[in-house]
Amino acid sequence: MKISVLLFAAAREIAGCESLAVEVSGITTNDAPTIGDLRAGLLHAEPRLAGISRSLLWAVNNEYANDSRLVSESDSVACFPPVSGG
Amino acid sequence: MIELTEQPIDFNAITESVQSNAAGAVVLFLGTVREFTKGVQTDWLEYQAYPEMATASMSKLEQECRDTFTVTEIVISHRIGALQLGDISVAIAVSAPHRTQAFDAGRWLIDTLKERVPIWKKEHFSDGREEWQHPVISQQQQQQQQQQQ
Repeated sequence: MKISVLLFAAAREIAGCESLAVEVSGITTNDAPTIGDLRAGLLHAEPRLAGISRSLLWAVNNEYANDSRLVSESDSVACFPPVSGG
Repeated sequence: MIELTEQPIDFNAITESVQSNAAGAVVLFLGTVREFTKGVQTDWLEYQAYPEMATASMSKLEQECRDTFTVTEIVISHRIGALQLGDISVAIAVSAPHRTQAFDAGRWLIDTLKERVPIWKKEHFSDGREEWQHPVISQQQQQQQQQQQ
């Protein structure tokens, strides 16, 4: 299954693109992938993100999501560093 | 009212928009672009947002604020794009029947916005360096630097 992951700020700059199609592997057909699976898949797709991967936050459908959150192809998924607005 | 904008923030219009006969106090907070941070000179700042989530997140802040404080009107406006020294990056205006609630709500809104809303700033320093500001990464870097010393 491929899931499109939107990237922002330093993650976007390091990857050099606004989104990445991440292949989620190592799961059975009955199990939906989790954000944890995507985190691993993202590093496989873009190894240069390894330097900041531990601080990257995830969001599914505009809500922060932890590693156990299930995702499907229809979800809007984003990955970004800690926020610094204001 | 929630706003994410590339245009300069009109804080007079925002302040007027929260005024109400039900309110006895109006508090306005403005975040502005600072020239020096820890002795390093900033040339300009770039703000980037995840627009859909930032707007949803600011709307949730407004609702949580109404559930927690006794307020009359709330406006949160955040600017994105290229900002120069002195420009307003964020404006928060709150009206309330009494001043304590207006101050407390305004303080809570800006503090929580900075923790939660997916917006990032990139420093463009006068010496030509550029750096995305990410609080946690900066702390990790500081710890690594301290360990190396």
